[in-house]
Amino acid sequence: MNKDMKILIVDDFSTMRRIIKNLLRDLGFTNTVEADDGITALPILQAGGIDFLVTDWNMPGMQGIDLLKKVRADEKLSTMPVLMVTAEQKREQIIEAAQAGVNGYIVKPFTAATLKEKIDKIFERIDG
Amino acid sequence: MAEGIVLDEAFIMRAKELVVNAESGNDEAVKAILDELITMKETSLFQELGKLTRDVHETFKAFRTDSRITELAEGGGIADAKERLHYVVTMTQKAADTTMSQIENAIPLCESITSGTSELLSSWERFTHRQMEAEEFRLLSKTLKVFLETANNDSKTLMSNLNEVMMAQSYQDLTGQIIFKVIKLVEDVEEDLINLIKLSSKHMGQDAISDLSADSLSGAQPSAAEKNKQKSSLDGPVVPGLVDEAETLAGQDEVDDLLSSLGF
Repeated sequence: MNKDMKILIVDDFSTMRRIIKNLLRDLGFTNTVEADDGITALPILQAGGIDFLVTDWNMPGMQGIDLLKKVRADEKLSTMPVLMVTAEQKREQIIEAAQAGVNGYIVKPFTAATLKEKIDKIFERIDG
Repeated sequence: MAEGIVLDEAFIMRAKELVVNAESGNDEAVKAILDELITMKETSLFQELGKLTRDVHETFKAFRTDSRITELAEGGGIADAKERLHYVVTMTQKAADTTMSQIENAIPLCESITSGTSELLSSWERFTHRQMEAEEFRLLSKTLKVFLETANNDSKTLMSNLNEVMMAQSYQDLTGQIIFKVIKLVEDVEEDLINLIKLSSKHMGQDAISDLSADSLSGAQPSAAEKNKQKSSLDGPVVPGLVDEAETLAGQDEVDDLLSSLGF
């Protein structure tokens, strides 16, 4: 896992973006950018250079699930690892996210250990 | 008002008779016609009053039986909002408690680091100015070692305190989502009440009294709350007491189990 990879954090609440950013920094990932919903995230992704997407689900404008679907449908972005960090924990939603091709799913509130575990798992699969 | 015109014609006819009888000095007939006219006027007044009373009664009945009113009062909406807001209070309280506890744990560590460094600094000054005996220096190096070990541990604890404080701030996202839901509910209630007032003012009006029954009122169109329910399928943060337990997973472990059953 490359610690210099560029990570896009998407959440409509700035407090949560800062928390994720700080946790990632603790894990050694310092190269992060932020967006507050799918609509602002998509152009950043399309501009290129992002290696990993961490997104919330419930956001105004474009929701995380739609962002995920757009990423998977985009030729250049389709293989990007996507971690969803959300308060949504209905069975059908988790299945929907899985079917849309999410790589990891974390329910809020979460711990630093959970974030580390899920990121490790995602990149173990990709690297291995 | 067809009734009114007939009544006025009858009234004018009797009034003309009254004038004729008065001019011819027929006292008995004048008295009789006067009584009759007063009765006619009173009847018309009572009829109007009766109609008004009935309209008011019908409107209140419509309010009582309107499903939207019951829905707002009992059917989840307001009760849910109360549950949600109570949970917001619980969550903010918990976050504040966590933050305060972590800070209270951190302060003594900062104090001990501050006093330790102050003492060591003054000793170090004396050492660099060659004002220290060999025996005292041996003591200083022991003190220094103990201090560095303690400070190393304390700074790790401080780091963990700060991380806990940071994680506690996630309440802002979660309570924010819950409060947005309550704001949406208040907007829906407002919209429904405005619709009801519009409908009932129509109901109280001159037209269409008979065809605006309670049934047609409540069946008119889906309420804002219903529309909202249809539109938004996202539940947001789990609020205790408002959970569809069959459909909602209990936490990260259950989410992980579900995902691994799906091949993740």
